[in-house]
Amino acid sequence: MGFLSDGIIDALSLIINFDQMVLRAANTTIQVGVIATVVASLIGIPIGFFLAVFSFKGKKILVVLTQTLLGLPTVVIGLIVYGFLSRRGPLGFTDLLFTPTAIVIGLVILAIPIVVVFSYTTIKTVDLRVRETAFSLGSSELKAAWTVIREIRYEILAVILAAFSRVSSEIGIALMLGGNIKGFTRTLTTAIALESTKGEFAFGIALSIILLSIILIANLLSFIFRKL
Amino acid sequence: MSFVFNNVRVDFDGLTALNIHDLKIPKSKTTWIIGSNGSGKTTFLKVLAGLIIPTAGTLTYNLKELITRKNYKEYRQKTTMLSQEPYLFRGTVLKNVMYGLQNQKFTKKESKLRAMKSLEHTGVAYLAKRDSKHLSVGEKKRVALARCVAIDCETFLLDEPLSGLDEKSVSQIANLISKLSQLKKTLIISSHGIEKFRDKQDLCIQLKSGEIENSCKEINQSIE
Repeated sequence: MGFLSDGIIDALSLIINFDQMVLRAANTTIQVGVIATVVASLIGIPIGFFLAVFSFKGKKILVVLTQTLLGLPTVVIGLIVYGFLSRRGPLGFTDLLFTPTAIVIGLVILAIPIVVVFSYTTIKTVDLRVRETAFSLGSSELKAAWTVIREIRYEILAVILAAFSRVSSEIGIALMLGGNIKGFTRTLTTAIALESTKGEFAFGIALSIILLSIILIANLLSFIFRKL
Repeated sequence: MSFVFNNVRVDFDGLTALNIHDLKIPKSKTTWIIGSNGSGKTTFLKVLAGLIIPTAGTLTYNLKELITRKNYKEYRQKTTMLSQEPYLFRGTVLKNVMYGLQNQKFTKKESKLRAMKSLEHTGVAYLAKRDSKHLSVGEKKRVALARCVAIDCETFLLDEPLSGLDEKSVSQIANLISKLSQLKKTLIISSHGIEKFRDKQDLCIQLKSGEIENSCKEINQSIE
């Protein structure tokens, strides 16, 4: 038990003293997480809206397919994107492999199904009367869509925060596409994995505390927005 | 002539909800749509509001045929509908009433003035700054009516505007309806039965299972 408590004390000391290694990993995690979440939201929310509001052939299949993608293992995403970005791959010329951009690409693929499915479910639950009311008050199709989004803005924000929580705690993509390069592509999760195998238990705990704090803040915000 | 129905049929999941063979609704008059629950009153009004596109048949508005979705978009600007259970958007009552006015490109200042005037007409001006989510059913209905009336439309479609209201509110709404009628607006109002304040000149259509059962003349005779 001693090494556990010693680990926690050392971890707190690393956090209080603003250890550069810890801060850099936290910074990279937040940066790639925020960018990936924003991009995934810009793509995913309109898709979720489209699926929830419009009827078309094959819609049910598309919904089931998107829901299935929720269970896609991160290492599989990592592997596919790796295949594309590696030197022999079709996008090898971009030299993006083992850069934060590569991690962002993988995380966007991970987050899109989350944003689509959750925003689809949220918009589906919005009363049909919102759109009908908007139309009966002279709104165009676009204004009516905007009204629906405005009506569920806090729920949508909660969806975005949920996606952020997921991408922040992911390891497979960050490891395979980022390569865990110190000070460059090392995220909190990849650093935890590495430091633990090296026996740097305190360092691992410090990183875990920060990671959990980030996810906790995102979830608290999500909870508050849902209550509004 | 305002609306002309020609073999208009609306199906939901294979079931016919509305089937009107031949009907003409005049312009600048009040028409009552009477019927029990499930008789097709709301579907009827939603077709007129452009919220439901008929499965078959043609509907003509002011001699212009409404067929395609594109037509309906233009047409929706000319009508407004009060739902039986109206939905109020998030925000204050005043913002709700201003919504339609801003769609009509009124400035913010102008929208505010018109919205306040409309709230006064429906007797709910005192609710202007209240959050729309904290209103009673009756208050919601009157605010929603104020929101409809604020827009200067040709046609007003009111789905059971008096249900769930107390006597005082009923008389206020009745006054408002008669004012709109005097302004030569086309009013189409659905109701369970004949309302006391209905003008004898008003037209009425009785619906049963989505079809016209009785016309105005027959209903008047049965009352007498």
